[in-house]
Amino acid sequence: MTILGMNRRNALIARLNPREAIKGVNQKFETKERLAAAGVPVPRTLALIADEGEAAEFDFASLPDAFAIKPNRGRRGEGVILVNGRCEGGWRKLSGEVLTIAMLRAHITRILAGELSLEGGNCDAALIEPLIRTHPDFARLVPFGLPDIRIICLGDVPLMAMTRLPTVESGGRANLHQGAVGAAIDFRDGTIFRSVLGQDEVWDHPSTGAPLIGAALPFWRETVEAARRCSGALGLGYVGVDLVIDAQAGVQVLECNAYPGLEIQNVNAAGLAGRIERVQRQQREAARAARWAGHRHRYAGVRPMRDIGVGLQTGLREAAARVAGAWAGPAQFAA
Amino acid sequence: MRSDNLHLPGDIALLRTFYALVTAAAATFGAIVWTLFDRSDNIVTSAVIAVFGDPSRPWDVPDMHLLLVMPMGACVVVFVRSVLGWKTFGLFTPMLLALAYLQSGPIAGPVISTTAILIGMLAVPLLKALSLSRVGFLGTLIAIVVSALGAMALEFQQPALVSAFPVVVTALIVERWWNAFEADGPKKAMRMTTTTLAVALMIQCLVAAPPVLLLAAEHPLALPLSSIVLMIVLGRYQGLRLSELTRFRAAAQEGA
Repeated sequence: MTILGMNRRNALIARLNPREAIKGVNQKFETKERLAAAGVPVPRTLALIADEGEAAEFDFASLPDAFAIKPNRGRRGEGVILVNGRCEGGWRKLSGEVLTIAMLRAHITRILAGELSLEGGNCDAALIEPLIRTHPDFARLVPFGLPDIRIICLGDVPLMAMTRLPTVESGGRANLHQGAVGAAIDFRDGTIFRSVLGQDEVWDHPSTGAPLIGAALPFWRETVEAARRCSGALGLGYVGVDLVIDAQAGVQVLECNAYPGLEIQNVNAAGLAGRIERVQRQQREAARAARWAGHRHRYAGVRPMRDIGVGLQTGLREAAARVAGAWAGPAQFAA
Repeated sequence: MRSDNLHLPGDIALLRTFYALVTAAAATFGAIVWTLFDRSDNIVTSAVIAVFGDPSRPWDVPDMHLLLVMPMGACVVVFVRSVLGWKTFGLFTPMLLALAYLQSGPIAGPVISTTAILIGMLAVPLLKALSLSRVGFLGTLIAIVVSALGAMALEFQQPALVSAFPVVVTALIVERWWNAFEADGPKKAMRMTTTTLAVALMIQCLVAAPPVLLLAAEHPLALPLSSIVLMIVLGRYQGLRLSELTRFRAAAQEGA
């Protein structure tokens, strides 16, 4: 069985992801700092507003024309306001509505009160980052919205990758359950080899009609490199990394997930469990080789259990061949 | 998507069968409520009594039995969650609900608590309009459920229902239902509610079965101890859940 089910995923996470590390990734700012220290590209921080005092003396005029404001411990996409440009009285949101300074202050107050944060939080900080504009080579595939890339890593080994492409039906959100297209990416060259909408395979984007199969993602090597470093930086053994590709800044890690979903297997038409087993077997072999590396020992490299297993296998095969031969022998004579 | 073209003849037939079954279930439910309500002899009440027996009869199990079969109910919940993969509200809500059924009766328990849940479901949108805090919301909901259960208990002469236990379980189910309704939409919330009630019904039928009653009376510790062994085995199960066989059909189609 090569498919990773919920039971096995939970057991894997319980073994590989420590509790503090799981808590750590819920905090966007702290996660960003840790990732940046490990050399992973992350969005710049324009401001971090931690309490009402800071909010009161914050200079809103210093903000650029385009930015995103989000709760530091927010659930996926909730409480995020995307601002695209200025107009009289304040800014213009990406959706076209006007955002005045008073509305912005009210939103920050709601964020600070923890109304838009994960369960169990009654205070939070507001994070302001530059607005991400998708790289044109990537953005041409979608009608609007922010397409993202999800890479599942076991330690520093990337296991499976997909991109989530918003559609008109998903309202610009990159969420497979809300009608976004999931597209499996080939690790060798960063091209899409299979794409799925709901339960069905599709070949073109349903909203833009852009052909998806064979479409190449920009900066693929850098994307995989960024994803590989996240696990070590955050202390998570099994992690789902969400990346976007900005037109100016290039690859950026937006979020890391300690409980990555399993839907990626349906998009790739491949199972994760087989790949995990293979990586873990290679890691065990490497650890064993490292353990014996400097030794000039008589029994170095001897693995009795493996040798017994191989011996049993060959012995059984020979015995089976002998039995089969004994069966076939008289029949040949009879003929 | 498959769900888009429901105009194939086979699909229409399936859908109509489903509607007919739902209507039949609702009618039966209504008839039982009527029988609980109306003690006189008419065609509906006599039909219900002929099919189900007296719906207000109690289970009549000893109090000790309730305690002894609790691990067995938990065992069923563990099985349903990690082997079948059915989603229910909370961890052991179905088990608690089944125990609440055992306190009242085989027919009256499910029917009355389902009615209370339905009443709570109707009240939730009204309460949400008042924009209460979470604690205030839950408290008010408990009060509403208590009123519904109390009114029914007085009307149907079912004093066992008005213990603290079923009330809190019912209120919790209504609250979880609302959370699921907001997060996953009405379809999934309805499905989870149905699963929770069905699992509770299954547990009730299992733990009140005559062999189990006999075993609990003869060897009181046999059930909890065997449940411990079974749950340890089930808790270590890491294979695919039954529901995942269909969920990952696309992932399983690969050759390698």
